[in-house]
Amino acid sequence: MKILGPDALVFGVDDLDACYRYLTDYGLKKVDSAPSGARFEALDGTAAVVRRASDPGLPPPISAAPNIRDQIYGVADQPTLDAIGAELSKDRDVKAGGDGVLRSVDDTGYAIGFQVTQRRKIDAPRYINVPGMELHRPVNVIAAVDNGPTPIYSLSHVVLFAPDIERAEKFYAQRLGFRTADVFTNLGPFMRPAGTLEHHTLFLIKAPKPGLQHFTFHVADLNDMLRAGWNFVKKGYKSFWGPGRHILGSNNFWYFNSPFGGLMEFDCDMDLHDDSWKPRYIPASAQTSQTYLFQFAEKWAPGDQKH
Amino acid sequence: MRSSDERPLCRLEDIPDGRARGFLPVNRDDRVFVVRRGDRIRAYVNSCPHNWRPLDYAQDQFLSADGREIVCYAHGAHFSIDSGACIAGVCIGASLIPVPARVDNGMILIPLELPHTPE
Ligand code: FES
Ligand SMILES: [Fe+2]
Repeated sequence: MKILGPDALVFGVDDLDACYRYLTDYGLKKVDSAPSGARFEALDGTAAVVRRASDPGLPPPISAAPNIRDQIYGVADQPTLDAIGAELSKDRDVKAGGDGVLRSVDDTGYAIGFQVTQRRKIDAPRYINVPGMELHRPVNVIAAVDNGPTPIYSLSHVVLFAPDIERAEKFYAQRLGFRTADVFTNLGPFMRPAGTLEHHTLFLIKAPKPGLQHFTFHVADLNDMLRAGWNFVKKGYKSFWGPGRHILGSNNFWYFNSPFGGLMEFDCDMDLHDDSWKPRYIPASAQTSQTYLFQFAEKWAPGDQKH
Repeated sequence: MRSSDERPLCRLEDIPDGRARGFLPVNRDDRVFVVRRGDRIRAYVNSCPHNWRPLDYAQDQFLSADGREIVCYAHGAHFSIDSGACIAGVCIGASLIPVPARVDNGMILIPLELPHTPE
């Protein structure tokens, strides 16, 4: 099944304006705004959708608001969509909405939807030069400029708590063809659907109650991640963890508390894998969670006061 | 009267009724927050029993939008304002660490020494 990854995540929130501000400050672009909520897009059209938690149009909540209410997966084509519909309707309700989204629910109770992907092709500029590599950033183009908001490229992954972790993983593996890339043995599996090479678009974490753990969009590279995080701190948002670099997936990370019921992360440069990859099974700890970790510091320079 | 082992945080009316406010920042995180409802206050260490991290996502954002519960904006745990007990979310059954706070002559006072946090 050629599922590419989430096209959109939908949140039921209790403070629309705060969420709008947050996503705008994060760098997403507001499109389709209505009194009941709004859609915020990355460059490729993947999105975070914010709705009032009380909106009757949302699937029922499985945790206290604010929290995640729906996940809309993008799939490669109509045959994939039909195959998903046939598979899931074996043992659960599947509804085709007027919006082209096939809606159902996973084995934890999270609402899931599927649509022929609406991702737009993006042309990313090349801006890193490495000795010996062909020229990427052209001559006379300056790298260290803080030219406004950091571009947010694409919705990357969502991380969900699951009380029955084996059952949760089995559903995505056996019913939807997700691969397990790696496993934190004391937390749960990193999973990628068959239509992407990304290390994970879904990470499931064992916990007593379901709910959002975090979600993130990809930015271009480490420089953009640090710049985005720096600006985010300066706007008053509270850092939870980072910046650092994970080991499983290699993605650079910086997590922030958010008004969506889970953390929101800036992420970049995740590993890619195909089916020849063999999952690693390791326990999560401070040592195994990151190659390095830094913390935000105020600007400073030697002799700043003296010249 | 304020005793020598207490410290003033602010005046009661400096916290809008039904709202919360963070105090005692270290780097960019407040160590304590106080919730006010009328004349009553509750103070807690700003550290969630799930991962022992601060609860707020921006300055003074510790409550649900209706002001009825404390919310950890890391992973969405909800806490009772009165008891500090986690009533929904990932650390259900755990509790925030209370800080004994009192109002004296309109001034909110807490002990100089804060309760110990596990991590
Ligand atoms: S740190 Fe508070 S819910 Fe996770
Ligand atoms: Fe992540």
